[in-house]
Amino acid sequence: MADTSASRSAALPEASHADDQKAAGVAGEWQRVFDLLEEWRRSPGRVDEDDLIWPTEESIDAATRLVEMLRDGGKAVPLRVVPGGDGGISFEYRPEGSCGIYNIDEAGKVERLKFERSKLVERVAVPLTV
Amino acid sequence: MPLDAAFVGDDEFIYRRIPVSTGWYDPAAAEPASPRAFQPHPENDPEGLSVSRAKSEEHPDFPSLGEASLGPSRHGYFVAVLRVGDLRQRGIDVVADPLEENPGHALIPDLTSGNRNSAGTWELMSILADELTLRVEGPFHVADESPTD
Repeated sequence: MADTSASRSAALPEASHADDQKAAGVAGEWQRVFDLLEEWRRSPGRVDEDDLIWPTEESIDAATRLVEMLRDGGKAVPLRVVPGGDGGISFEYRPEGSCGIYNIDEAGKVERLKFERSKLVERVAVPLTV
Repeated sequence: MPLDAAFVGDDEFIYRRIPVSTGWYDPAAAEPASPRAFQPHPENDPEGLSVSRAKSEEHPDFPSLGEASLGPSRHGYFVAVLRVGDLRQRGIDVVADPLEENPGHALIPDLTSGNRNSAGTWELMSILADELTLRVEGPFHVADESPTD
């Protein structure tokens, strides 16, 4: 079917609106990650009833920089951002058939692990560039 | 405790508690638990990762699912359910380590505080979370009455 200029001009604002909505949704998801990190910042390094160590100031600072780096690089929002239980933090991705994890240790060092069908196929240090 | 309780049978089920507060499992996400749910504690798992053998006709003194879910966190726990034979098929052993408060306590000796961050341990944690967990039950809360199996 021919695409007339009239139909294009009618369609464009809708597409743009949808893009705006999607961008706003993604921004909101990243904001929730920032909010979670700020919540942890209220009592960094606390030890809970299960003897789990919650994120340290160093790991929260590094996680904040990692969020900025991933967000500004157009990367997807992680499936989960969770405490490591050892003062660190994990960002987990679950693309189909695999699993990617950014681990931030209690000192703020970041590494990326990639699993293919549970096999660890990559483990590299990640420099924070922000 | 029955005389054969020192031997953990392939057909036995084991429970691994997952604190709700950590976010290591989200039933709404339709995704496996985080591998972190199977990572040994930095200090408290020197001999192996803590699990609990499931109550059965053969082992009536072992904890039920509800009893295995009990712990100190006010936020409660999920409980991952795994089968010992499945773990052994992947080369992961489970050994009895009865405690006074839990005669069904057992250990996965390949996962310890000492090797908790090695590449091999991360791979085993991933296998346990993604491939060997049969289901995750809960959440159970401290205030809940213990559910029956």
